[in-house]
Amino acid sequence: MAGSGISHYLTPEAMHKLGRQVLLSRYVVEGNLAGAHRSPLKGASSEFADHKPYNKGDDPKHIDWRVYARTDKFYIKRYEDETNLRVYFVIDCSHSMAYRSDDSLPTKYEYACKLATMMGFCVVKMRDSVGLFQIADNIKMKMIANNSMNHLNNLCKRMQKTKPASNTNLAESLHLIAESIHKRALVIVLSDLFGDDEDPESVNLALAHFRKQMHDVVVFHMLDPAEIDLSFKNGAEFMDMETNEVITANPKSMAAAYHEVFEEFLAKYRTACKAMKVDYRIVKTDEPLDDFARAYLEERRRLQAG
Amino acid sequence: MFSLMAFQFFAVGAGLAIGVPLAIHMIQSSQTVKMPFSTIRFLKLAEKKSSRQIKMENFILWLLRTLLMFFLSFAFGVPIVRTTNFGNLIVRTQRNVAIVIDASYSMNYLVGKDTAWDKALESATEVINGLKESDKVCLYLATEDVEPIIEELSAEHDFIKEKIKALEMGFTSSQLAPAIMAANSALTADKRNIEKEIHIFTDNQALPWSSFGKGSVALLDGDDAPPPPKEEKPDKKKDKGKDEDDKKKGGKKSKDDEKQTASITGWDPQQIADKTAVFVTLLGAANPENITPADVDVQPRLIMEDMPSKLTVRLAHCGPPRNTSITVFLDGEELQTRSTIVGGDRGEDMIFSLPPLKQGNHTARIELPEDNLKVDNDFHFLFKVKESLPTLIVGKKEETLFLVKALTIGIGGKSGIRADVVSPNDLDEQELSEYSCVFLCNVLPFSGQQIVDMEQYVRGGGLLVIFPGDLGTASDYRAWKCLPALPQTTVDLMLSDRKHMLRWEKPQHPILRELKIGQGGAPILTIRKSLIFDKLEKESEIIISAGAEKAFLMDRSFGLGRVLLFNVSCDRTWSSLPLSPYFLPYVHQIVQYGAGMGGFVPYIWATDSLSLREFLPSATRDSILEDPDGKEVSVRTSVQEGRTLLHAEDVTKPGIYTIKVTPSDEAEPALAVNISRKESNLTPLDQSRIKEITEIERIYVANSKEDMLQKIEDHRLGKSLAETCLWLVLMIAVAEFFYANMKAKNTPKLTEQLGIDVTGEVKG
Repeated sequence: MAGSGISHYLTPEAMHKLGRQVLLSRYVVEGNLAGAHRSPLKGASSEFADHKPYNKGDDPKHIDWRVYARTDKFYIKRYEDETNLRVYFVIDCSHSMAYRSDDSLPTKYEYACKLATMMGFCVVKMRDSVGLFQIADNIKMKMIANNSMNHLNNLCKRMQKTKPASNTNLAESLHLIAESIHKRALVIVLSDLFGDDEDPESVNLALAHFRKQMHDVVVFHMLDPAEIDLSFKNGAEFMDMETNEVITANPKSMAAAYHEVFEEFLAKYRTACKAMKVDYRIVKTDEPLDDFARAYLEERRRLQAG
Repeated sequence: MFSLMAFQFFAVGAGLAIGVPLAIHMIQSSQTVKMPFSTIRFLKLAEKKSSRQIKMENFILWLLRTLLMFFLSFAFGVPIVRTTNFGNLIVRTQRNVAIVIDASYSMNYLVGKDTAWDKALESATEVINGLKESDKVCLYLATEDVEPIIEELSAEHDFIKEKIKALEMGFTSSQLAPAIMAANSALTADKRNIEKEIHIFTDNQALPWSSFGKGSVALLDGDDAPPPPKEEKPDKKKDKGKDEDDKKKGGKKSKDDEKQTASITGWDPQQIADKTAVFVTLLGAANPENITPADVDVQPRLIMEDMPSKLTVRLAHCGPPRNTSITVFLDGEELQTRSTIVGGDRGEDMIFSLPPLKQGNHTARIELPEDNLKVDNDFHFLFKVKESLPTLIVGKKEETLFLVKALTIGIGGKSGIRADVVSPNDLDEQELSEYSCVFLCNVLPFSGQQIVDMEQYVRGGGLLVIFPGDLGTASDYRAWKCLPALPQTTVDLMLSDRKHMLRWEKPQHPILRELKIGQGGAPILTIRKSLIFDKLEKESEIIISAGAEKAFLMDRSFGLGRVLLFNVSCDRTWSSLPLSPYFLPYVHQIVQYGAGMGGFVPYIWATDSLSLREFLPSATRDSILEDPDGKEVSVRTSVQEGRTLLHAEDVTKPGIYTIKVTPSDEAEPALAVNISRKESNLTPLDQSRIKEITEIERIYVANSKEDMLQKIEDHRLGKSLAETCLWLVLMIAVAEFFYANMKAKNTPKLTEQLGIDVTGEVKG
């Protein structure tokens, strides 16, 4: 796609289609602006939250006189505070993300960037903020959250400029990011979750770290279809893109075993994410991105409304 | 040297067979493409899990492919490998070979360009060509009898091949069993423990196999059996007459029967050693077609001058229905041609009307269009047209008066019967064979020689009619051997017992068949005196009886002729018979019966030896008998009971034989000889039954020369494993195909198993 910045990833048609889509957090988030997202703070909004016994110093205008009439006690009426959403995209830019099984398919990194741009566009359009972390063996780049389209454009340029390289140390990078985000936010991890002999447990711990800090976490598990199915016709020497290690294998003869192993790998993430209430999605690079993004956002909006 | 080289080739071939697929397998394994992949950690784990299974699968595939190549190289590259050792590379034994060639005329059947006979000679020569110099051969022809060509084993191959080349096919049928037994006897004469082979060359016809035992007798039974030559009514007399005809036509039937019995009892598979291999090469057509004139019948049998007659031609047929035409030639000129469709496996009768003919012998021929078996397309026969029926009456004038009158009276005063009357004293001067019927009227007693002459006359086909009289007593009859019954005594009847009603005991007898009982009912005779008879002799019967018990006229078959014996004289001293209205028709019928019964035979079957006394009574030592080609036929003379007997040798060539009674005479048609139509039945043999019929274990059946040579090679060197190897190759290839496909079969995609929806959520 020609151009740079947003236009590199999104065509005007795609932007138009995304016009009504929103990305909402499933949990309360803390923002610095009033917005459409629920805040943990109680404040001025039309939405009732709860009652609190009156204490000295409380504004008497918030006393709920109807409750006083029934209970003969003073209670303060509290309302939900509504704030804007901070969305952080954590994009894996390790070498393994540069893989594509077919020239007609995008690399996982490209797919992830495009997906992040689409999400980011929806977020910024709703006056929410987007930030970016690019990680590999550590945090390669960090962009703080901002709600301007200009910021999103810079963010895209940054993504565009970055070439996947080096090994992955996903867990550590995620821990560092978790430490760096102080306010509750929506963290979207876009990664193939392949690390150097990395145990899914360690990555799950890192995700748990986010959850502990009350972040809403979405994991987009970026995968090429060949990685899932091992759908190669002939035997070959497979070279690890990160470690350059080589293995000779006949995919046809070991497909069944591979599926078993890979399914186990996916299951670990799936189970852990479910337990942690992390939104875990497998994103295949052969799926049309527009369809996926629209379907996902729609579902998320629907769940939020429900 | 050759052996060593062969083994080297074998070793190299086997090594290559194993090495090449292994090398290909290994090269294929090492020639892999380098492919970057996001992570190989799962591949490593998967390999750990499945390495043993993959290795096993690869090994099985390698094994299958190696075996495939190995057997393929065996099948095509190593033909010397055989079931029995390594063919003739290691062991070479000497062998004796007996060759039996079917020389029946059915071998003349054209199969493609050559006849089965030509192919048989060629194949027999090939068998000899395939032998080593020291191998010995004997050669036999299977005809109706066994004809040894090289009776004892001989190593002179060139001489035997010349003999084979010079062989001529016969005009007879054949039986294989006696020839095989003879060949086996020749082989067993050599007591050495060497390999023995009997090679039989025949066509596909079932007939020559009908002499092997009870199993083979049924070969031609049932639907495959040839049609009977005639559909006769179950009339004993007619059957008898047929037998007589058959006997007349060369006595073949009884001879065949005897031969068949002899050959059946002669066939003994136990005598064929287990080590002896028997090769049967069937060189005839698989589904032969043939139409042949099988028999002719001329009615009436007694043809008089200027009398029209009827000719019935019976066609025998095998194969699918076919259109054919039948042409009748009379005295060399075409008379009639008719077309017909001969269908099924049944014969068909074609009837032709023949014009009145002049007195004398006429030659006739039935001709069918040319087919693959040409030799049986023609059928020859003779007509003998008589001016009158010569009848001899022996007796005194007064006693033969009624008889002579009765015989000479006919329509328009002409009966066509010439009655020569001689007194008993002049009997010796008469040539009896010139007469079809002889009446003896009260002439007994006879001298011994006269009795012998009379019996000889009857044996030769004459009809003897005896009227008793006062001259002879009962004892005078005892010297006779041909009488239907011996008289016990002569009785004078009382007046009250003289009226007798004649009863026709055998109304279908040829004498009575044409007669009708008149309006006055059964004839009643006055019998004043009569003979009383003892019990009936064998082959005798009462034709007419007087009253309930008394025999009036008796008949006996004797030799080729018959004897009729009345119990009353032919004058009116004993009875009123000469005065009865039945006397004239009786004696006329008797004369016609005699004339039609014996003497002349329209044709005979080809035979090696023919008694001229029976078939050509006029022939003498000086007579010259010539075959259809004009060559003189050898006539053998023998003396039996003081009489000179003449036998024509080798009357086997079909056609019209002529005779010059004396060298100065004109040649006259004497015999019409046809080849036996039994052989024309080409009903093919069910090959699968040969082993069962012959009860020989090591019998190999081939359908062509090439097939035979292959089977001989397989037998001598052992069967090539090529076919077995190819079957194994096929099975392994199928196994490899399925196994490799099973391996290559795509396992279901994990994405499908996981059930990832459009939002990326895993539903599975």
